[in-house]
Amino acid sequence: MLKLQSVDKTFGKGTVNEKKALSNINLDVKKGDFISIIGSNGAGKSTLLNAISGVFGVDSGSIILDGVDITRVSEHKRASVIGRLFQDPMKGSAPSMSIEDNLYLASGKRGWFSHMTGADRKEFRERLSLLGMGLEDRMKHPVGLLSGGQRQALTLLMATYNIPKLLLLDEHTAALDPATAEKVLAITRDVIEKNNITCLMITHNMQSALDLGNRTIMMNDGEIIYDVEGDKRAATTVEDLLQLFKDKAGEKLTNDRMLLS
Amino acid sequence: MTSLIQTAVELGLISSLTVLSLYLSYTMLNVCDLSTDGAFTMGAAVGAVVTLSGHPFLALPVAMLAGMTSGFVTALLQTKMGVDSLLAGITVNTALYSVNIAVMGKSSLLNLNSADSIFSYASDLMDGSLLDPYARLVAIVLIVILVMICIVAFLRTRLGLAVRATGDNPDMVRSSSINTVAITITGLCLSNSLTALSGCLLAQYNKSANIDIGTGMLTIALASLLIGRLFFRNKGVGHGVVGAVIGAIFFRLVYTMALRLNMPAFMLKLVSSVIVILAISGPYFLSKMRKKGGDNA
Ligand SMILES: Nc1ncnc2c1ncn2[C@@H]1O[C@H](COP(=O)(O)OP(=O)(O)O)[C@@H](O)[C@H]1O
Ligand SMILES: [Mg+2]
Repeated sequence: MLKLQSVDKTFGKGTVNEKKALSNINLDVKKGDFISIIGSNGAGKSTLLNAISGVFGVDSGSIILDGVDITRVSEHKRASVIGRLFQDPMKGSAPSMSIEDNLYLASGKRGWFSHMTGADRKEFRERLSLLGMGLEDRMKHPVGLLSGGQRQALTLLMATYNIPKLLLLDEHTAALDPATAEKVLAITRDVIEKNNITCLMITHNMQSALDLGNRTIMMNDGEIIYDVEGDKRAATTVEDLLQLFKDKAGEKLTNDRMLLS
Repeated sequence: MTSLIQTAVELGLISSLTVLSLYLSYTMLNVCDLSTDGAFTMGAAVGAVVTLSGHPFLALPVAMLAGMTSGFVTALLQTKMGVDSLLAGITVNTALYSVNIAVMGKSSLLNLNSADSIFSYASDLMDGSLLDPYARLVAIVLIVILVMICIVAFLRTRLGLAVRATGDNPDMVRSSSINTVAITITGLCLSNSLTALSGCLLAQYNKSANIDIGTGMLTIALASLLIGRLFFRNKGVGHGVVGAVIGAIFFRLVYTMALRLNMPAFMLKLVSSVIVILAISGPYFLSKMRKKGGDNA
């Protein structure tokens, strides 16, 4: 359903800072795939997701979503079918607006001149209660008062309110404390499984890279160096992954935030 | 004295429409629109010309449309043509000077003494009734209340929420399916239409429009907005809108009092500038002091 064909991206071309961030990326994502992406700092993981969501154009190659070539489609147009979460919990919601206002905006209900109704509020309350964070009783509170974990959970709800064709998660639990990260990850898994969402998730946590989803991709220096799924993946351990990386990249997998368990 | 206060309230209410305009552009959309002075004068000029032609009521929507056009150009420059937001405002403001003189028939002053205005209609309507001495006040209050209701209703629509989110968290909006360009254009068109309405009403109220009528309006309105913010801190948009109007009236009352205490009238602009600086740098220094205190603790 998502196809990347020979995608290249170089930053700062022709300058001393020239950096090839994506190099001949070929990727075929099937409908319902939940892919975890791992790799060292600067491997090009975020660049890959940014290229898919249209933050910048790519130098060559094409990106095809559901049979439509979106290589030149603008970022906000892609956003109507691609949901995104970033590492920074502050990025996904408007702090001085209330929880319900944020949800109403994200829900895209009815026309631009429509107002929130009681039925909308009831629906928001139900969806919020599924997060299990008590947000359903704080719908009129400004989002700025929420904790990072609550805000990230709300962002996840906003990004998946209308089921997107594709969900892109860029280390969305990395800024949270371990217990909260666990909780947000559990909610993420829940939402994705329940709605059968196709998802690409960058993670610094080697264990959850193997536990979550059905496929794992390893990146290094702008290339996909390993791609595993099915039985072979089921038999893979964190140690195997680290060894594999060492063999393929010729160096140890290093990531500031890396968690081995 | 009461008539002095009444005049101050009337003028405050008229300028409150410009304050509400800044509430949309500056507070909500987080754009400092430097074309405010020109748009205000444009509203006065266009409004005066239509009023002189015998259509004082039509003058209001026509002035708003003119303001909207100017807002559209300012927005287009900064969203589509790569002109920095502040520079877009300044250049439009400068261009409007020529446009406004042209609108007023190559003159820098239009006299409306002999023309009907919405205020003369209001006086005729309430002639002999209890409201007679307050005819102008009633007319302005009605208009301001109507505008307040419209703004609050707008800010609660999905489009209004998108305008607020664009100012509140541009990162979020950029990564969402909302078109920031369209939102910025919408916001600036609406806000400039209010600025122009404000100018049109002042022209009818003063029975004249001159090319300098809008000079300093941005700073005066900003001062009022920041004063109004002191009344309702971090509350919803309903409170924000009421606060903006209260701020405008409060500012005008204080100014009137200062005049009574022999402050020369030409000081108005200096005083409003000082208020803006205090209102912006005051909280800045307070938070800096607090941070220092926290470090020592
Ligand atoms: N907008 C940008 N401008 C210039 N260089 C960039 C930009 N984004 C990423 N890079 C560079 O591209 C490389 C890959 O970055 P990134 O995709 O963020 O890595 P990661 O795998 O850690 O997410 C890095 O060397 C980074 O410095
Ligand atoms: Mg990254």
